[in-house]
Amino acid sequence: MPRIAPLIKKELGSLFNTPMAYILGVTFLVFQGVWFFFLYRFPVMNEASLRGYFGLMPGVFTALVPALTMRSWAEEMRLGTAELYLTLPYREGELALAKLLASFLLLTLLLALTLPVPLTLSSLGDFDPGEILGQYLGILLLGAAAVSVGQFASVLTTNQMSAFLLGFFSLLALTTAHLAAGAPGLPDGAAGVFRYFSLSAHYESFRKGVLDSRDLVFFLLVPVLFQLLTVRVLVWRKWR
Amino acid sequence: MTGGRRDLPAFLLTVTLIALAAANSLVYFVRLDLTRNRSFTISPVSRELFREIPEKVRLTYYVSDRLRKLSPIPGRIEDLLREYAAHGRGRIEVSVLAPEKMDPPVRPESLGIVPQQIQVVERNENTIATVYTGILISYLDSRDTLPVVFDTADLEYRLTRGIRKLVSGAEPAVGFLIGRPGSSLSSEFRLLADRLSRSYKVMELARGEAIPRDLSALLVVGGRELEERDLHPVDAFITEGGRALFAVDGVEVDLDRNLQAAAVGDQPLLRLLSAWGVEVGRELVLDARCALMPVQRNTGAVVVRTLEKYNHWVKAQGRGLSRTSPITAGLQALDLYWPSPLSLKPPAGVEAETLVSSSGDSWLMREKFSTNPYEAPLFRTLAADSSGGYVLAAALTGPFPPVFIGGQGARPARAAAPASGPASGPGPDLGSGTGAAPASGHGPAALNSDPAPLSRTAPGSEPGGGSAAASPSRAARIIVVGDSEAPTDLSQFSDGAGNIDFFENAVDWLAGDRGLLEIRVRGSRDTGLGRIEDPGMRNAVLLFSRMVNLFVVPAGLIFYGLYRAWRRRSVHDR
Repeated sequence: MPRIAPLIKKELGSLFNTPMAYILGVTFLVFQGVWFFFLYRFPVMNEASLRGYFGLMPGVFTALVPALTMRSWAEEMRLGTAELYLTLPYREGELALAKLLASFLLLTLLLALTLPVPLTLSSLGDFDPGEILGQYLGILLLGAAAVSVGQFASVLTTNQMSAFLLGFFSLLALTTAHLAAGAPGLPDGAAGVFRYFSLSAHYESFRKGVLDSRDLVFFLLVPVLFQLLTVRVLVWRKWR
Repeated sequence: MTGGRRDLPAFLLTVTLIALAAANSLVYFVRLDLTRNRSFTISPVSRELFREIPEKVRLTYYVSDRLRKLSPIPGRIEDLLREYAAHGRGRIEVSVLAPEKMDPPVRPESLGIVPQQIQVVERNENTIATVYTGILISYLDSRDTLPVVFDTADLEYRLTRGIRKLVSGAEPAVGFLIGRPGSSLSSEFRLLADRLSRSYKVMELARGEAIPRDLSALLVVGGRELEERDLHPVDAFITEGGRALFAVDGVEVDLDRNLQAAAVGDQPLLRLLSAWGVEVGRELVLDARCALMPVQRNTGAVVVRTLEKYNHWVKAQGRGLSRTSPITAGLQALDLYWPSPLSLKPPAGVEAETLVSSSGDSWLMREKFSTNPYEAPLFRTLAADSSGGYVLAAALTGPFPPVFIGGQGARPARAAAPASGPASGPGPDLGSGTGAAPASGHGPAALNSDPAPLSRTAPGSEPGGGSAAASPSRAARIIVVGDSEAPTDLSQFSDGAGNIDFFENAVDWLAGDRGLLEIRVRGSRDTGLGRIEDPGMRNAVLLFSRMVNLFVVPAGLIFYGLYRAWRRRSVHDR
């Protein structure tokens, strides 16, 4: 990890040097706040819980994460800097990991900026800290999975918008896969597969404050799988 | 061979390992419940259930395939059942069956499972589908059914209770002794009786009837119709270590006579409670935190029905509900209708605990009662006392002295109360001539000097009650609620969903089934936003949170971006 630290720093710096990160960050924070206080109507719900706040996040991430990651590879490909990047004295896996971690750190920072929500509301009721911890842990893991999907979408194309759309629809499919499990006439096995690949279904336990090893393993395996696929594409491009 | 092709076997191997790890995780898994009360993990009572089970208990979950595909809830129900099996040491067996796939076909209705109709969208059309989701608990030749299960919130409670009931083969009983005029279990207590019947055999006792020794709890509601002789069995029951809840009024409000209110006179039930250390004030408690009452207003030819705040319907919540008692710890709110204040002066050896109290912004109405909702603006002006925080329900535990069934010439409480007072507080001094008036001054005028001997009934003349007079009392439990309307079906008019929960919890506590009570309580902590009682302060906190999260934090991010851009430009210019 220390070997790729300069790469992560460079990637993070380039993310922060574009207005996109700030536009997305502000939009995310304001949207979440408006949803929670005015549309979900937290005061009227009269429940000392942030389930409403975190309940929408998997959906929000389907748009937010591809917007954060769409530049990472697609822009390099378009500008032709990818070839230069790939000649750095790092393996493809390390280069891809650095980009993944940089985007994930940015997402983590955005989530850290939501911490004032529980902090400012805690005096109103008996919020369960364990539940909130589970919610943050779950959304971080879901974010890591989403970032890896976004990165993979970005490496497949040379156009940012294409990368965004590919990432968006991939995440949308993964987030809502459990709904397809209810399709009439679907065999049990297929329904089970759809349910298994749903990001939001695996997030559900975290949202309640329960850590289930099945969900934990899923959220760890998804980034590994998509990171592997990203590296595979990079290697294929390099040798093509 | 290119580098890409060289890596292919390693890539395929890694993908295979990922698939194996995913499959493995579905077979071997653990759950860690981070919630404070371990709300999503079965409780120690359920984990230790196998100790009470001599033979195998079978839990069969009948769930339609269609429902499993549509909702994640059946999966969670199955998880919970598997947890029972995992802790059951082989004495609890779980199976999940889809009724439509069984061979030979089984009609779940024949097992007591109730079909549910759900709306589904198929080929762009709304259709109604019939699904099943119910649990059959079998033990030897007997069985019990949970007809519909579609929520894990109280499932553990229902399962553990069901298993215990089947294994023990006994059904605990709860008796109602109703002292409200013209009232009966079927006319006024349908909601509560329905709820209690899930766990107990519910019966209505006739006045003066002997109280069965094995009764888990007795509920005495209202005292107007109860004569002294009707209370002899109650006295004996408690003296011998029985468990009872008393819901009584200090001021009665007649619902059939335009809500006319009148202070209760010398009522035997109130004298009995007074001797046991609970004075029921002949006053009404009114509270700014109150329930809404449906009110009809005539505006010319138009009749308008509205819901208006009615200070006589006290809504106890937040700090008004004891967080240390399992009876109220998980309760959101309790609605009390025209309640009267209680003053606690427990006798020697009896411990008293306040369960419910009014808010800091509550007051008393005394003698001149105004209950008409149209006179609501006058309510506060008629305040006789406005110190707030009046006790509305309390629990007492310990040996209670015999009152009516005392020996020859016995006076209430005198005979049994030891000379030395309890450490926790003074016992009632009913014989001193100064009466049992509470220190707070809310005591009833009727219960003052030199109360007459309440009974001269000879020992043994009442069923099961005689011997108690001479022998030392056994530890009993009583709960007193200063309102006889609270357990009635009136609660449905004020959206008082917490009332039935309160009385169910109270009965569980009285019955001594602390384990079952804890299951329900731990999953139902007070999740409301009632910690700040002052509405102005509450709104200020909400406004602050909105400002911080909608403006300050996003603005901070924007300023940071601008600062970075400015710094980069400065470096660039240099």
